[in-house]
Amino acid sequence: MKKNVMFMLLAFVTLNLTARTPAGGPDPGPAVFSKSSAVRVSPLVEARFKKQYGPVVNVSWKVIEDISIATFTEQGTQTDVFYYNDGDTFGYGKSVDKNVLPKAVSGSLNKKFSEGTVQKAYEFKTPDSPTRYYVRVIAPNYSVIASATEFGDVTVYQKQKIK
Amino acid sequence: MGKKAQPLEKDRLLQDEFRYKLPLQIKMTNKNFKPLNLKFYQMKKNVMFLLAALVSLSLFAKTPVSKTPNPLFRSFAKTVKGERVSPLIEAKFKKQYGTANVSWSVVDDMSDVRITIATFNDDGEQKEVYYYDDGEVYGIGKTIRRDQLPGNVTRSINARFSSGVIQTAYEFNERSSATRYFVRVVTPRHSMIVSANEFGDTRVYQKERLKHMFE
Repeated sequence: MKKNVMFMLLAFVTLNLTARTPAGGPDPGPAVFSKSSAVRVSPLVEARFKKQYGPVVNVSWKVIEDISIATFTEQGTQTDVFYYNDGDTFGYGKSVDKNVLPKAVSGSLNKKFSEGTVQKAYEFKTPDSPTRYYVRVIAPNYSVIASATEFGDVTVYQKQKIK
Repeated sequence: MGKKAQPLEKDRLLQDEFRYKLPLQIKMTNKNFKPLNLKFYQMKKNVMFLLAALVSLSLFAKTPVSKTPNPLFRSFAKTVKGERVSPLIEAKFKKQYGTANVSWSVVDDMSDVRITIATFNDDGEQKEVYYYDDGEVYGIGKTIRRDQLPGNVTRSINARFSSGVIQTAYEFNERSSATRYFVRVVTPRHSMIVSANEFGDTRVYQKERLKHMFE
């Protein structure tokens, strides 16, 4: 389950990171990962959302791999809430300015991708692990989707050569 | 300028006074713990309490507080500012954050829990990194404005303390759990240190009755 969800999260984040950046050509990221659909979400999940954020919040829904994602604006920031089918919250995510990444995160990324530049960043919070930052890094010869925490863990999910 | 500097100095003295009295719980022992997880389980509880204490300091130091000694601080352990930190920790810090201008505090209660805290300026923000003795990072914290608290956290706190006002907030990111926000909440009758995460987990660490003028 955990692995699936991580994969789903990666899929969503990839979509987010690629959809909002000029990819310099067709990017296989969305093709590989995009299974999101604007289908009707479970009433239980919808009820949970309404209970948490109120009935009048303007929200759009996506469902990926049994995870429902509510996207709405809170305090001027577009926020995503990830729900399991049973209405439990899996996590919260939002795009963040690449310049406000914690120093430990940008330090780890710079060390790992010394030639690369962070293009976009997405902050994701789950109940049982520290805040993770998903980034799209562009280097002269490759682009990468990776994630890092403030504790030095860096994970590379997708690396592709730039022709 | 001089007048404005006075409260800061006062706060610092107050902070030092509190730090001197910092509490640490006696190390939790449980023979059933597997050796590999021993450190984590034993320290987790202590460190959470310690963290609450430290955050209390941060929150207290930046808010007006009565001069009445707080009973919570009586049995608190010792925080030493400027004590020589372990070269291992110093090296870890330098490796991670470069040669930032850093000040060190060590919290020690003469038991097994000892946390070294590096305070430094990270792009204009004051941050604290909390280290175990072996150089492992326990967590990273910073003071934030209350309007920077995630909506869920504010809602959880407001739901639990409907008559309360959040005064100050501290964000703490830990390796093994969700980001936790420590806040000082003041109601007409009480002042509390509360922590909450975005997943609805709210805990009260300290609650004290406020003394009113005519009581």
